[in-house]
Order: sequence, then structure tokens, then C-alpha cells
Amino acid sequence: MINDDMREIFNEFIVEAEENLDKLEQDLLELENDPENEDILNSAFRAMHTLKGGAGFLGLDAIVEVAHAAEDILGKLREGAIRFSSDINDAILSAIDFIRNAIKRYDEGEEVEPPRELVEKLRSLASGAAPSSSQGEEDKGLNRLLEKYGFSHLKGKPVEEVLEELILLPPDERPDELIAELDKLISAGGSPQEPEEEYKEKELEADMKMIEMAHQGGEEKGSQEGGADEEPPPEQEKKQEKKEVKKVEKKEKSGGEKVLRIDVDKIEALMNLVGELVLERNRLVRGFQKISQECISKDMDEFETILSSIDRIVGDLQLAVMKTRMQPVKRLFQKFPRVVRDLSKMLGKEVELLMEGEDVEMDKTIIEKLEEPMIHLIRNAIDHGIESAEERERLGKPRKGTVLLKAYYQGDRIFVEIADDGRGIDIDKVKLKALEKGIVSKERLDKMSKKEILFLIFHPGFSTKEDVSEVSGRGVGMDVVITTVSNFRGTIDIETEKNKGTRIIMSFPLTIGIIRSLLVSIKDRYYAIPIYSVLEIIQGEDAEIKTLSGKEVLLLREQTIPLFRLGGILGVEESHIGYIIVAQVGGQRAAFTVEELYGDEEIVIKPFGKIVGDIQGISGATITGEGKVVLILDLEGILKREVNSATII
Amino acid sequence: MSDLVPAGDKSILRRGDKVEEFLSLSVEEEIVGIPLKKILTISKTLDIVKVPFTPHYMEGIINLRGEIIPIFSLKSLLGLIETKEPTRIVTLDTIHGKAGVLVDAIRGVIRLEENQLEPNPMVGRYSAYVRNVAHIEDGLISILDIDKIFDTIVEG
Repeated sequence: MINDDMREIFNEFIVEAEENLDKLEQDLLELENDPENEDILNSAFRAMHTLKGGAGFLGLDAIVEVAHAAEDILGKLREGAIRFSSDINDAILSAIDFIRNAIKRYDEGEEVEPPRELVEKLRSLASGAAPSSSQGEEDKGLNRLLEKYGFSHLKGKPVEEVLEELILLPPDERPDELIAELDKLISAGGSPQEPEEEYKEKELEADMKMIEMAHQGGEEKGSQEGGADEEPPPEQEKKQEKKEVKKVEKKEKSGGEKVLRIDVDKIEALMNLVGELVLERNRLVRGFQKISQECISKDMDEFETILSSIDRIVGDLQLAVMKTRMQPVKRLFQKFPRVVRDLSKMLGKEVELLMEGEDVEMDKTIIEKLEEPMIHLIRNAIDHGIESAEERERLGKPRKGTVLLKAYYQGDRIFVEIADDGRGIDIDKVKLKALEKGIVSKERLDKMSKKEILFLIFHPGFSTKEDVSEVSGRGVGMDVVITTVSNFRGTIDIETEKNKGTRIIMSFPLTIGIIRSLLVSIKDRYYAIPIYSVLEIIQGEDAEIKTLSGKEVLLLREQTIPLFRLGGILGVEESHIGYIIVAQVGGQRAAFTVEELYGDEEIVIKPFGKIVGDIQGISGATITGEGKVVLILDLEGILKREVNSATII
Repeated sequence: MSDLVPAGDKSILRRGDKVEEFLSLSVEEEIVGIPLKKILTISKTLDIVKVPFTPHYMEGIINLRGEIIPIFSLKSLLGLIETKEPTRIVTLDTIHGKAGVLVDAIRGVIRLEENQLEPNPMVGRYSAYVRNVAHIEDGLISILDIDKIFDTIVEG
């Protein structure tokens, strides 16, 4: 039990432990490729040792015991007394999973018992013995468990198929007992497996509510700091990968003392204040412009100089505060090697994970919320995209499939891509499935572009995987992806080519707090429309509007674009169509009518807060220089509302 | 009116133990009280911006010193039928964040000793949100459990 006196130390321990566990996990995955590497072994040993020490101080006995046993193995590996094997790796990874879980349970005030079996296994591995995989379990045991947890339809199926079903369940619904049983069966039959508990880690991280604020430059390339405390450059020239690891390590060392942990709430408060300051500055500038037209004097020039420097400083301040919320994408990406490793093992595929642009910085909130959708996309890429090694060989592709994660800046947005070199998405299958599921009508489908059809995979209740069962066929995941992306005013795009692979491209605003928007009005109510989705603006009188099967459409250069009367949707009386805004919404174009247009402006998004929660169609509000409240429209949400009320896309 | 203390006049309020202060409000024919420590501001009902796609009990949002605050109809929340036009917005510090409610009128600040607060005898209507009741000169005052009301809103 953690009492109040220890709470603060415990909270610090959690942050530190999380870092050490992440580091350990990375190290272990590295070791798989480079088992003899002393630096990595040392780093892993140190991480485990630190963890044990912290847990010991706090009296977290279960963690101490497991960490101690794991540390022993790492110590022996370091001495060369035993050799690295995938059994050892699996056991230590299980220990990491256990420790993560244990921290969470301690945090919630639970008592944690040391896991006998795991400790035994670790000890026997440390003594150099072969893993004591408990044999003698028969398929009967599995069938009994399948029945118990309501998977009787899977009875008698091959283990791989059962596993596949289980992966598609939400992590907390996966029965541990069943997974343990499968684990045993698999390790008896060949490649060992460990239960995948790791998805729980993110919950822990979310609990922390801490943000790491790097001291200026602390996160930048270690070499730029050029401090005397830097380690001498590594002598041995090894693999590219290894050098990467070294660099990361060094950076952590030289920047270690320049990092300050700050409660997220404090940053949040700072953001709000800066937001207000920005608005007041805008008012000041406008007020000044008015006065300067009326009176001309020398004093005004001085005023103007002061004002313009305040203007600049406030802008810089805003940027600086925004930056405190930014974290390198690495924090997100580093979770995935483990995911890919486990999934590819489980699905019996050979997959290599490549990552690019890990230093690109993104808002912390986006990084946190993107984890789950990314895991889902990676899972899809491996499960549906990448073919089996044999099939790949037959197609003349390298046996090993590739999944590429990439982050980069472009304009004022950040792009995150997931690409695989698998079989690509079969458009015809998507069509068939969409019809089968009643997601679209035949007539509508015939009129849809390839892209629009592809986007049907994001529709709730869609799944192309053949022979799906009740569980995996729910298609919940892809819906989560698009919801998360649009929650952050992101965009998503799919590119796919048969037998070449699939690329999912997401883009997000640099900061979630500020957005360039088009200001419009309907019946003297003001609204802001985020500009990234706007394709073009047409004068209302020039527009050609037709009615097609009871719905209004805009005819634009031979194209028909569904037209929505914003006034009607928002419950405001619309007197005339002043302008029509054509926007890219999700995978399709849509046109929206407004009365007046006031140009574009940077606006500070103020969310509605917890009490109101998320409103589909309205992403928040902003306060103008004059103190007016303006609603920020979420066109995607509005379209979804309209679609839901009409039932068909 | 001996129970009523002019708002803001702290000198009269001794720091006695077991005494709690409330803002006494009118909604339709009822008198309700809200613990003073929950009150942030009181203002006129100006410029409430309606927000589409929200439940009927949400009136809209306001700009309170650069912050967006959601405003709710206290009458709708309590299930009262509106016949009078609300004149004041009372913003509150709830466990879920800041929020405002519309009320017909502010009666004043009222100070009650613990032994004056009786448990809520009623059932039905909005009694789930009533923490205590008390007899004051103007009649019966229902002390509202603000956090509970907003719990219900957040839980949807």
C-alpha cells in the first residue's frame, strides 16, 4: 500500500519506472538483432537495477522480486555466463509487462503478489537451464477454456486462428487464462509466446498526467550542446541501427539535468493565459489602427513601435508556450516495435518495422491519443496487408514484409504515415462488403469514385477480412481511427495499389490550440470554419444548384457535390445564399452555404470543457478581439450528423 | 428578512463554527440556495450564444473574462416549467469545471447554522438534487447539491 507520505515519491517512481521500462523494452528488441552488444546489455542491466532500487525503497516487494530475477539474467548475460536466447527475451519482456501492471495496481492501492511461475522461470533461465515449459496440457484444456469464455465456435480450430480472434478483442476483454493456455500450447509446439498485456501501459501513462518540459535545446541534437560532460564518441563503427541507439543514449545523458517535469494543469493554465493575451493584443492592435487614422502625431509613431514589438513578443511567447506541449514523435513510435514483434509472431508473418522522422514534434495530447489508432492501423497492415512469407516469395517479393512509420512536417501541418508493402486493398472486395453490409446502395456505389469507395472502410461496422467471426467482424477499429483523427482536426487519406501495398496518410495541425479559420456568418451569428478543409469558395449567385433524388447538389465543373444548407442544420434562419464553401470532408467533397464571409484569421480554440463534452459538429468556440463568442464548426461532424439522419452515405 | 445579509458585507459574518453561507435564489415560485463557496460570479443575462446539437437544458455559452463557460437552465435541470424570464446568470465552480445557471432573481446571501439545516423530507421532483431544506422568513429554502446536478449532466 502506498500511504500519503510516500505518494510523491511513488509518483516520481512511476515516471522514472515508465522511462526505464520503455528503455528496457527497446534494448531487448535491439538485443534480438545484436545479442552480443555490451552497451545495450549494460543499459538494460542499469535500467532494471534502477527499477529494482526504486521499488525496494518503496517496499513494492512483488516488483523487487521480479526485477531482481530479471536483473540476475541480465547480469549473467553481461558476464557472458549465459547466452542470449529468445526464451530469455520473452521471459524478460514478460517481467516488464508484469512490472507495468504491478505499478498500476500499486497505484490503485491494491496489494500485488509476486508471480511465482514467472520468477521461477527467470531463475531457471539465469541458472542456464532450458526453459521449463509446462508440458502435458492437452487440447482438451483449451477447448474447455474456449467454452468457458464463450468462444465455443473456435473449438478444434488451429491455435493460430484462435489467437487471431483474440487479438481483435479489446485488451481488457482478453481472458488471461485463455491466453496463458494458448501460450503454453504454442511454446510446446515451437516458438514461444507471451501474453500481450503491454497495451495496458498507455493507461498508466495517461494516469501520470505529467509532461516533460525540455529546457530550451535540451531535446535538440546532443552534438549542438557540446558540453564537457559529453561522452567521448564511440570508437567502434557498427551497424547504423546501433549508432542510432548510441545517439539517443548520449542525448539523454547530456540533456538529463535540463529536463524539468511540470504538471500538465500548470501548462494548461499558462496556455489559457497566453490565449487571452493574444486576444487582448489583437484588440489593442485594432484599437490603435482606429486611433491612428484619426490623429497623426509624432507620439503615435513611438506608440506604433512599442505596439509592434509587443505584437512580436506576444507571438513569440505564444509559440514558446505551445512548444512546451510538444514532444518528439519518438514517444509514440517507440511503443510499436514491440507491437509489431508480438503481432508478427502471433500471426506467423515476417515483418520488419522501419521508422522515420522520430524527432518531429507533435502536441502531447495528439501523441497520446494517436497510440490506439496507430496500433490498429499497424495491426491491419500486418494482418490484412502483409502476405505470408511463402506467398510473398511466390509473388517475387522479399520474404520479409515491411511496415514503414513516417512523420514529417509539411506547411503548417504534421504528417504521419503508415505504409506496408503488402497486397493492397481490394476495391472490389470493399464494394462487395459495403453492399452486403448495407452501408451504401448500389446506385450510390456506382457513382462513387475509387477514393470514396476506399473510405468506406472507415465506416462503422465495416470489415473486409473474409471468414470473420462475430468478434472480429465488428469493424470498430477503423471507425476509432477516423474519429480520433477528426477530433484533432486532422485529415486522413488512403493510397493503395494491388500487390504493392497500402499507405495511410494522416495530417494534424502543428498545435491543437490555434487554427486558421474562415469567419462566416448566417443571420448575424458568426461561425469559424477551419481553413485546412476548404477547397474553394463560390459566389452564391454564380452557383448552379440542382436537386438530385430529393437532395440538393452543387454542379461544379461537371461534378456533382452534395450541398448542405448550414443555416438549416444549425437552426438559424438563412435568408439567402451569399457564398458556397466547397470543402474536403473525410473522403469526399461537400458544399455548405453561408450568408457572409469575413476572411480568415488565426483563432484560439477554447474547448467546451468536461461538462458539455464533445459535440459532434462543433469543435469548440473562440473569442474574437471584440469579445464575441464564435462557434468553430466541425464540417466532418456536421456531415456525419446529416448522413446519420439520412442513414446512407 | 433577518436571515438576509447584504452580499459582500463580511463584517456581519462572524467566523463561527457550524455556520454556512448560501446564495438565496428565485426560480419560478421556489427559493433555492447554493453554497456561497461554489459561486464564482453573478451577472446579467447578456449575450448567451446558443450552441446547436446540445440538449434542451443547455442554454448556450458565454465569454467570462476570456473563458468559455456553458450556461444551463436551472429550471430545466430541476424540471420546472418556465413562466418567468430569467434575469441573472450565476456561475459556479463545480467539480467538473466552471458552469453557469440561469435564475429568475437573486434574493441575497443567507447564513444558516447547522442545526437549521434539515434533511430533505421530499421525494420525487428534483429532490435528488436537494441536499437540505431550511425554514427562513420568506418560506422554505431548498439547498441544492450543485455537484450532483452536474454529475448527472456529465454522465448524460
